[in-house]
Amino acid sequence: MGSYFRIRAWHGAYLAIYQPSGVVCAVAGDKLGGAFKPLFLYKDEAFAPGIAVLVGEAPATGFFIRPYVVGNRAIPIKIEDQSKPGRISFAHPGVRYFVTAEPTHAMEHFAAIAANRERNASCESFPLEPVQTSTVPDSVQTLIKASSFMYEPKRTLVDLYSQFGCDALAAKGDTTELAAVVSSFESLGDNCEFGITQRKCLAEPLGFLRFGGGLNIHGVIAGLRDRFESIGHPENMTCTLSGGQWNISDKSCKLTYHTWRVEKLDPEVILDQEIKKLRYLRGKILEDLEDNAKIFVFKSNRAPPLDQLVELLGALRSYGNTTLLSVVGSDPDHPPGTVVPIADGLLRGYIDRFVPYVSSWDVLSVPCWIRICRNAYALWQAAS
Amino acid sequence: MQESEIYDGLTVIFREVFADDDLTLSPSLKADDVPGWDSMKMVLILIATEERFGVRMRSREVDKLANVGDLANLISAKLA
Repeated sequence: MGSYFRIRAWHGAYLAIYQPSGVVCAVAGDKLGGAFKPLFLYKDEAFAPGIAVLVGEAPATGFFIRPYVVGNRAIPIKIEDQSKPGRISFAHPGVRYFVTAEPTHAMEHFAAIAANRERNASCESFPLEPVQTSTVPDSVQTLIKASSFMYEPKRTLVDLYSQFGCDALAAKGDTTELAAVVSSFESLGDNCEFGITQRKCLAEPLGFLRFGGGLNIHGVIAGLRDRFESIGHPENMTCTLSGGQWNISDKSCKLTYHTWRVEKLDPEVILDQEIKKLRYLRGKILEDLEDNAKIFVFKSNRAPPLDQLVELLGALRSYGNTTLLSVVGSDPDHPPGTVVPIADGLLRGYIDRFVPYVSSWDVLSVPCWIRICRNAYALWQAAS
Repeated sequence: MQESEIYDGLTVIFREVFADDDLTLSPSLKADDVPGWDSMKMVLILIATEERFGVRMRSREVDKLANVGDLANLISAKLA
């Protein structure tokens, strides 16, 4: 049997999340007290006073159900059957985001959260059905089947600093400054590496090419020269499935990027939204270029020659007094994290390693990216 | 424009973007608090906000927004 959620709805109910290795999270109903109305409807009767969550065999606090209004009654969950989907909402202090889902769409929602926020769950299916699993009268169990469920606790920036080996920063207790620093940079594509780095630093700045790939330095230069006018036209864009997620391709410039949205969503809706998003973000990057509001980052696992970087800087500077940060592999003269100015408006940062183009983000060198960002930011501020 | 009018307008936008007629805004409401508030939703909120209030927000202003209160204050400042 695959792993599954199990919501048992009766007096003293509990919600359990199972994985092949065993129960990973569950809540006991008596932890919820009278603050919540009966949690389930079964045969039009509200019969469960609460949801209990246990971790292993022990009750865990804080997992609760938010009210859901049916008619004039507020109930946390309404469960009928799959053809009449109800709605389930729950949260845990250890998880950063509320999860609210219609059962028929719940897995997309979980997976989208997992992809977007690297939190919560990804599951293959989410059937909701009350089933009688006990000989105890009115003891109804609802099974939400899933192949897997990942549960990742909320982390603070201080946790991240420690994880990334930045103990001095962790000791400083800084929780906002790093996000502000990394938000001052904007990726010029190549792939998602810098965009993911920003996310790892809990920063989610707008970014036209933040998750863009396939656009080499020549493509970026060409795009800058025509003010990215060719990007985001419906006739050039396609939405294709890869690894269970929808990706966008714009053939006008060979741009591809992840939408972080999952297979079961409507690709036409995704494409329509992505076109709006691209056109909006195009306007924002042009404003940023004119305002000298950001440091633009160009990284490539194959470092471009200096003349191409100068050409890229020239294209950027046709808008304003922009700064370009080119990130390349470190060498004996330039240890990881070093940033040096190599021309007016052109900084070069040195990283210990890039994520290989076909590899796992596990090897992302976040500490080194942080050092590069800090050093480049300081130089940029000084120059300003 | 009164602050309450700004919140009324934002409430309409948020409810439409998140398809949730029960969504209630407060100044402290942030992305972490609302399911599905990802970068796509943020862009849709910004597009609708700029259209509804007739303002233009620079990305450096947007990047500093931490919650709905910040957004309302930015709109108010733009309209002043």
